[in-house]
Amino acid sequence: MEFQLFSYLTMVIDVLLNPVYVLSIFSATFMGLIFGALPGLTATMGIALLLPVTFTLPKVQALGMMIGVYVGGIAGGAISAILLNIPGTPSAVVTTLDGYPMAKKGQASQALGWAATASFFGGFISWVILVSVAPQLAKFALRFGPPEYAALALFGLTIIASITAESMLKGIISGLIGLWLAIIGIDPMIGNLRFTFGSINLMGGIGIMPALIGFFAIPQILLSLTQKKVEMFNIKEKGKTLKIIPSLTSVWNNKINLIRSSIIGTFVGMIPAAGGNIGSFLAYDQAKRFSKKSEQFGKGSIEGIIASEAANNGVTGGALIPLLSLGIPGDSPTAVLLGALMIHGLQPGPQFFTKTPELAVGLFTLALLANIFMMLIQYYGIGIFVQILKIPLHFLAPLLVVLSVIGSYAMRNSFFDIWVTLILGLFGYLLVRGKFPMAPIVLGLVLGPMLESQIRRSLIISGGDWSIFFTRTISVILILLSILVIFASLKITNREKEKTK
Amino acid sequence: MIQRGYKNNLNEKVATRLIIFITSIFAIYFMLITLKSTTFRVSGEKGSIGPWVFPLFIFLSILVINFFLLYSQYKNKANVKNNKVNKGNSKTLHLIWNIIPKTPQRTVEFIVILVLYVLFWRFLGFIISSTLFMWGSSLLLFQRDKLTINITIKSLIIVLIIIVSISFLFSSMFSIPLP
Repeated sequence: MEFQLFSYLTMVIDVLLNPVYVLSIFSATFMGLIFGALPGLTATMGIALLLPVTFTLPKVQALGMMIGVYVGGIAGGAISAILLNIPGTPSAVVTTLDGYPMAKKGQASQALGWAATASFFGGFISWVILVSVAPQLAKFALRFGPPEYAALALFGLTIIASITAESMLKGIISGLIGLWLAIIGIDPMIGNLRFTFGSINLMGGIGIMPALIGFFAIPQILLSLTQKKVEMFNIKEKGKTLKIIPSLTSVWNNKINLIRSSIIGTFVGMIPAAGGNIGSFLAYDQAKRFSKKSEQFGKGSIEGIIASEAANNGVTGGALIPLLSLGIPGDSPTAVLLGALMIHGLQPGPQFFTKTPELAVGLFTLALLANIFMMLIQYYGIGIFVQILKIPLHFLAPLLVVLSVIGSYAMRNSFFDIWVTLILGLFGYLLVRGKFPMAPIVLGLVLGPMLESQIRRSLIISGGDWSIFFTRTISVILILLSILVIFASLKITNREKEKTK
Repeated sequence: MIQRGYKNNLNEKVATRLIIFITSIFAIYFMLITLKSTTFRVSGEKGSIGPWVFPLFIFLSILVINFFLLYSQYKNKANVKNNKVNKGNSKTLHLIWNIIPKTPQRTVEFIVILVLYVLFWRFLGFIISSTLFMWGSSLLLFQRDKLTINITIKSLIIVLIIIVSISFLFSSMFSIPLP
């Protein structure tokens, strides 16, 4: 029996008119936004913390709340990324490239408004795809094997060339530093220890969150100490009326970017275990490539923020596709959601939509509601968020350090992670002084393990034959795209050099 | 007097060279570990590459790219009017001339306090160490000529309230136990 959302319209209305459900989703989304905005706290953590609270709640409400935290958590990363140049989540790294420059130009509210709008569009479009063609798309996602994952990781890493076209060598070094940090720990295939120097703490590798906080938060705080003005990060808000909500005309003018980035995010999120972080990088790269004002990217371009945030929240719906259709999580938060589904006695899979239609309808409705609340909370909260900028430097800088330390500690309750943050933070400060970009480090850290393990798996499957990467359609397409990205970036770099001469 | 643009440019060059130096030294060291350690001598899984291939590729790439980066730096060397250290700007600490990028004194002091904070976080607990850190840093960063006893005491009270609130928020509401 084909699953038809609109056949269950009365169920949708029931859910929407239930004040308990509505309030739960509002609270959960708000909590998610806070978790996303604070560096070190993640959507995954938020869902995990909420899980015990939901044991006694009805299934729809429980799962809807967790999706609310997920949606809010991903979107919340943009707040600190724009205001403080400190991404709240790994997927908000790309938002810092244009969000923070916009804030420095006195357009923080505008940037936040666009981030909220783009996040909503990304979430909404991925929701539409989820509701309409989830089972069919899940079958496509299953076609991704080790060679495709390796090619995807390679494609993601070549984005470094695109986002650091102005100083590609430094960008490549940053990416290699990220890859370097990623190989510390246990070998993904054999289980041998690599570069742990006998330390138990290093056996688990370098955590992504401590590294992210170290490379983004600490250098930014240290750089701000040289500001002559008392205001933190020297950001002003121009004009009396805050331009928060983008006009319909401007949304219409950016419709292609919104739709394209949302679809990219949805498809990346849909690939099981790929992780959603790469979605924002890919969307940003494509937006830059198709933009008429590509030279503005990295200097405060709204298109960059749109691409990043639409893709981020596109991942949320996309990651639910393999989760609900196949029982395979798309990323870390959905991995926790899978646990939640099982705890509540539910079995995700191909028959999820047909055997438990009321649950599916309820989940989809609450997911849409979460996206709406996420946008509204951000719109109405922007006036409060930008007040952060008015906190005096001598309070805000130490406060951010304290929150960063807590954030590093919180993931694994490990003091070692705090030292990691500090050491990488000081090294990151040096990198920033040398104008080395930070975003490629995150790319390397996130994609390195996937690249290595999937290459090795592919070679095991093929018996050492490297042609496996060139004989599978999806893999070939991704490799060709990678080559295209590198050549296009080299062309841009040469063009820029000729202009400056 | 050194031009501001030149100073920034010099700082960037010095920082870049320091990064090249640090990453190259560590890359060579890690490469030697990769080549000599028995951990990496395990042959790859049937048909696959061994655990040493990917690390070796990374370290060699770093050395190669560092070489090109250094080469491009010297190729694009800006005209330098004055290579001497400008001691006229009093609030900058120089540890070693032109090897460490010039770092404002305030930043160095903050880094020292930060290291001490992380060192004592475990032993003093979150509330005491964070209070001391925030209070000390806020006094350090405050405009020195406007610092009075009143402000010092007010800072301490504000910091205490903030830290206790944070501790409550994370321990009780987010269930993240702090030491």
